[in-house]
Amino acid sequence: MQPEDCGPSEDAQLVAQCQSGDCTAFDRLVTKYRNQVYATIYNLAHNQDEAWDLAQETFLKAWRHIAHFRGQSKFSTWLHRIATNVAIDWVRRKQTASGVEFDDTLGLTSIAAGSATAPHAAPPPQQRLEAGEIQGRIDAALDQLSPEHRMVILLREVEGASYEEIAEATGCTLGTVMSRLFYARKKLQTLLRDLYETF
Amino acid sequence: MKPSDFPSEPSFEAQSAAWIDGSLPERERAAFEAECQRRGISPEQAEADRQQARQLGGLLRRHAADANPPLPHPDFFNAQLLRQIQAETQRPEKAPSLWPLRRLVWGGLASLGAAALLFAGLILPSLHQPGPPPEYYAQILNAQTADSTISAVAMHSEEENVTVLWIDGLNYVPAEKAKN
Repeated sequence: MQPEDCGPSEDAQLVAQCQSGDCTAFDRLVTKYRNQVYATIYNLAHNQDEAWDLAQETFLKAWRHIAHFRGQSKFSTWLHRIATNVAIDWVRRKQTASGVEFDDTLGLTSIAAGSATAPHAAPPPQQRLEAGEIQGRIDAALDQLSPEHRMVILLREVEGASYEEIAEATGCTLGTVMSRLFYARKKLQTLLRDLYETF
Repeated sequence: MKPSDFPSEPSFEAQSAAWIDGSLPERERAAFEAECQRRGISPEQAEADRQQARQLGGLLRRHAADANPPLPHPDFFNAQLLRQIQAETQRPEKAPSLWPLRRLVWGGLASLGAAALLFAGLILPSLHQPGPPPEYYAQILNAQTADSTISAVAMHSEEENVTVLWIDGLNYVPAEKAKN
């Protein structure tokens, strides 16, 4: 979850400079983490313009609150948590505006762990679906998850975050993270089985 | 994940997630397998589910790698952000000014001081230095009138041996009274 060219000690030094009002130090932190923050938000928002604006909001919030950052966690984790909250808030606002509700619980209670998650799909779709369609299917499936479930599975599967890092980023317990991961996987397995068995 | 970090009394869902990711501690494995058996999930079914979950993870990673565009206009991103930060820094929230209150306090104190000086310099000396006796002295012992607008003032001069009674508010004084 951290750019390779950036060590925690260097981050701590830059953060200390930021806390004394050094905008140049903050600019360096932005340069190091902007792609990561943007990718995290984009995974949730699926919209370049929105993700760009939300990434700006994330860094602006980080600057406003950096005086209160005590270094109890890594700067990258702290920043990731802000990005996660900004993105989830945006999805919630969008949900409220559109009146659409997520159906995380729909059908999940009847899914047993280890059970087959979906009936076998129709013939392999690779000949019918273009790459854009596959992407659209995945995005649509992710959109059926709540922001919290979506964030957990994206952090785990796409960004390779550990349970502890996800717990820090989302402010949840380890048990909650693992439980959300279980249900998110089950839901996506049901929706995307034909894709992941083919591609 | 260290075994010591694993949640105590984890739910079956948490155990399943950890098992799929290969991070289920050995001490939890027996409990997980027993729970699978109790729920009628064979080891083959559990293994198949683990493979499916891993395939799903692979699909999501490939999709993200293909679908995630790089941050557009990265230099402008920084510039725009710094512009907003500088705008906020130059426009700090104004704390309520105490100057009007201070001005009132100091103004009041200055007025009190001036009044104290005036009192000490002019009023007090006049109180302590007895002046000359009044030139005129008279006392009206009794005055009765039905009209509250009528007033009387008496003046007496020892040297002149005269007393003047000044009555104000009467239209006229009867002649017999004026003689007295």
